[in-house]
Amino acid sequence: MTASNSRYDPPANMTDFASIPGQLEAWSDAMSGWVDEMIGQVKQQLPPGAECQFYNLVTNPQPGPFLDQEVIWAGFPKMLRVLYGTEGAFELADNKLYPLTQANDPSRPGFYTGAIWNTLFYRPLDEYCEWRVEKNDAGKIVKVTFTSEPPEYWQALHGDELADVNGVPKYPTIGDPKKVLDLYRELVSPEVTLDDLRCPFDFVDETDPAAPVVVYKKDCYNPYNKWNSTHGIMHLGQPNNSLSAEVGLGALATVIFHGAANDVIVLGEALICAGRLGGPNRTSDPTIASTVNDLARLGAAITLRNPVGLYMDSIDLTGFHDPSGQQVPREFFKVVRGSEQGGLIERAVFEVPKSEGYVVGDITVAGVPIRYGGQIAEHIKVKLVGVGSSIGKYHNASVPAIGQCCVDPSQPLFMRRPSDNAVPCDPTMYHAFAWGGNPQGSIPLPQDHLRAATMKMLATAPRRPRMARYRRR
Amino acid sequence: MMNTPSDLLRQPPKFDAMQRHTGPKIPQAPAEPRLAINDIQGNIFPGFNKPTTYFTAFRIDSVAGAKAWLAEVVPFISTAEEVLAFRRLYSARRKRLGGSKPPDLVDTNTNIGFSQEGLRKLAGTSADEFQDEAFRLGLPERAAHMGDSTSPRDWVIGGPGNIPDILLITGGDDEDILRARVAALTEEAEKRGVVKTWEEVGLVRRDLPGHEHFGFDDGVSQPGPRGTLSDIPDDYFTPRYIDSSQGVESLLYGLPGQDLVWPGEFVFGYPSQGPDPLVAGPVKNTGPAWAANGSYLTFNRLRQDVKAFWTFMTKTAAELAAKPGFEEMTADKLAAHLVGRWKSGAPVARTPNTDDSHLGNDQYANNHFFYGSDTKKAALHGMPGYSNGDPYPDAKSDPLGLTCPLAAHIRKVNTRDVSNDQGGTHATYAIRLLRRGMPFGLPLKDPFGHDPEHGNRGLMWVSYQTSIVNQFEFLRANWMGDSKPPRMPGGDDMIVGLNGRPGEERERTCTIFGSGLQTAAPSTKQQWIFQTGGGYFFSPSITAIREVLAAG
Ligand code: HEM
Repeated sequence: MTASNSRYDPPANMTDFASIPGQLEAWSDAMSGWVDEMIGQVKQQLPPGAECQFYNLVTNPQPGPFLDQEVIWAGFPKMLRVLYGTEGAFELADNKLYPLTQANDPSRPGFYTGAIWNTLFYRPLDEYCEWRVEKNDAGKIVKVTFTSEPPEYWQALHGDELADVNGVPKYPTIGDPKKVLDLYRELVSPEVTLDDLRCPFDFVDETDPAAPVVVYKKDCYNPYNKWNSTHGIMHLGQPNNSLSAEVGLGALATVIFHGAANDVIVLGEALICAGRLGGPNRTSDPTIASTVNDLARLGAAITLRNPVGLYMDSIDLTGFHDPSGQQVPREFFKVVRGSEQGGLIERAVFEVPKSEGYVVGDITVAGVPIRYGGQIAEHIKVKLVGVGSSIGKYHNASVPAIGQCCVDPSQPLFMRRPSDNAVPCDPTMYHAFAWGGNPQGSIPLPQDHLRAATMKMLATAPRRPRMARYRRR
Repeated sequence: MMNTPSDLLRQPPKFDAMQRHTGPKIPQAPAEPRLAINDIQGNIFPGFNKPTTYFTAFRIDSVAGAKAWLAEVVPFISTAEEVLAFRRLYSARRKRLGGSKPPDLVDTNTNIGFSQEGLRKLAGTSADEFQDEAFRLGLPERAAHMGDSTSPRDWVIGGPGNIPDILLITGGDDEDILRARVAALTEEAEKRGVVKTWEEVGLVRRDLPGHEHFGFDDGVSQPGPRGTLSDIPDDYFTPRYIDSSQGVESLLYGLPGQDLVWPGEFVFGYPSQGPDPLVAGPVKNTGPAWAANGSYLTFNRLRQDVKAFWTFMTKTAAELAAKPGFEEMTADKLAAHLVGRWKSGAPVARTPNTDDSHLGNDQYANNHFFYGSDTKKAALHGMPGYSNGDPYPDAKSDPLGLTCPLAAHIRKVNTRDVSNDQGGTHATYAIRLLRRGMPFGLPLKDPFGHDPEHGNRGLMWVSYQTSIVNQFEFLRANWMGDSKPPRMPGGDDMIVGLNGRPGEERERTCTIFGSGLQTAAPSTKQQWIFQTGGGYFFSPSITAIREVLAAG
């Protein structure tokens, strides 16, 4: 519970910036800038006369008492499970890298267009927690490295200009490329060179051929470098996993939305869809958005706690057993960056000390041998921390929903990415939460909407096989 | 017990013995599947709910004998239809008697479950088509992951080498008839090489019916399976009480606050939960075809240490009462805040400071509360006493757990309308189960007095669901057994959670708030719940028993 802050500190109060003159201030300016940009966006969405409930901790501190609202979510990507089932999801999460021309969410286009982006890769791990698995010659897992560090931190450490929330370079930093290199050599591989980490030329997005955009300039830090994708892991790389995205979601979620019948939207997934706030199939976005929105509806002043960051909070190793059936100690999950105290973990390694004579792949979880990093990730809680105060101070009116999610019966558990609600869902699909997402709301639906939606779903159900074939043993 | 006139006024006009209209006609309502209630075992739903229940375990020594025995037993296995019909008859008779229990209306119900090994013996390799990892591995292998510190070898039933092939659950209103039924079933079994390995009786507390041994009303909140019984459009299995003038609430809930859940979460072969709770989701296909109309049965014999529980509550409440913001703390209040309900079942969300037994006993009100918004009155359909909602104070929005702690047992296992670490509110519909537990052992009237039973009391905790991993085990391991999820600022489920996290010495602690937002963190290393037996079973449909398991 923080009262006043003279600046925004680096995530987990990590110390790499400390010895670079002016760097801490530069970082704070960028953080503060993102917060202010988002406040600007929120103001555009609010109805006339409403005040923004999200505030800048440094330039506009608010009075306490403060209530910390930790928001936690499971580290394993829910969308993969929804689309591919548990086994398929585990397999994909460990082994698949997507080129940036392709989205891990099948309902959206790729992130960038152009030949260069076909050669740059990311992991389909979009819950602000990514990992990389290393195996021995026998194919058993020996080490899993987890990270929740945002890419912006590494761009800043390199001294690049950080982008604004729309991706346009805006906030200068000072940086020290040597520190970047040293850390990569220490934590990823001694073979890393600075050239490996930098863009050899401008990386240009040609999605709009008439207006190509330079996303990463020549000689700047390349977050998708091979040591953070195909050959190693240093920080978050899935393009939605950024700190500015966290600030954006935290701020925009203070806007109160209503559906067709003016009922305030409360359920997490419905809120994501209605406000076009992020990924409805994630563990993270719906809980972040609705937890913030719960406070906003109580009229609280809201911000993200300093130091603003994305963290692994903890891991629950209950029932992780060694080959003799004994519980493994928690020291096997070693925190490498950030701090275990207070749950501000940025980098951690799960590994069995050599002296034990067995490897991660010999450990069982609830009797099942570890074959995937995801079996560990699903026991990691990822978090961010909001702060609420002055409950009852604001009485902002709600604004009409701007988005919707459609569901295709062939992917029955998957909500497609929020789309503009002025354009109806494809006739083969149904509009999820068309009733508004408020359990105490009225019913704004055409009479047969729900019936028709269920009929679409049932039409795809497999026919029941006959029982007779089981009788012969 | 006679009801007061005002209680009678609130009685629903429906559920006369053959009434088939169990909800208001709402044109917007989603289409729901027809449930095969003559094929589904009746303890799955609606549940036996009998004062005395025998749990009998068997080992199959002769497969041919077992098949012959099963063929004989099938007609005695109560279907959902029979149990429902009896319930409706019972309610109708009770209503005519002015609220007192009809003493001469009795029934005896039997249901059956099979372990993986039992199914293998009877159905061969198709038993291996069950995909649930927990079912395949069995409870002893999985228990430690849920924080259990006991050695399954010490369990009275279900430990290694002691896993029954068959679990029979027989409940009855009349003890003599019940005993005779169990004896007959057992005798027939043993004649055919199906050997009884264990038997124990579960007893509804005669002093406090419906309450578990710590003293709290149990079985208050249950999800309501969606589905219809006939072609009559409002002939729902789970009756709907909320008036259509309430809007969405009338489509989402049966009793006020009772989430309607697509039946595929509890019984195989039906649509399960999709992303939108008002639209059917996919039919899950995670077992052999003959699993249709069947359900996984989890059985846990959980011993409860009543003395340790109340010793902690008494001591900790006294310590808290000395702190600003907690002056009014008592043992009962502390325990209620850690359960989320008072002893009567009254929810802390609606009555934060004292128990209210009227509220606790009123099924039209005791589950009606939201955490994310203020709860509004809900008019009930055709119930004059509730045409403006129930008469009790309403719950206020409490997303932070300032009133009802986020670590309270009922908030650890059901986050209702607020989000959780699994995303939004999908878990509210998909991570649910049908609880059918009942106490064993005699109650300890004075928790600090002499205990003639030497602590042998607890719950025969039973649940039905279509995924043991994602429902029962998820709740126990990921939510009750972890200190952070589902939502912060929470903590351990002090009441029934078990902390098996390495290095934490089994300590359980949580955050509770005082009247001026002060925080306190009660904590203990003492355990109040001990696994002393249990197992994972499958309760097949009547057809599957007859045509697959009993077939030669
Ligand atoms: C001896 C052990 C246990 C005791 C004494 C106990 C006691 C209670 C009590 C007093 C309630 C509140 C009344 C009600 O809503 O029915 C409750 C609710 C509940 N319990 Fe337990 N319980 C135990 C074990 C478990 C276990 C092992 C699970 C799950 C794996 C569980 C899941 C639930 C659920 C889902 C609810 C309903 C929550 C809601 O929907 O509001 N309980 N329990």
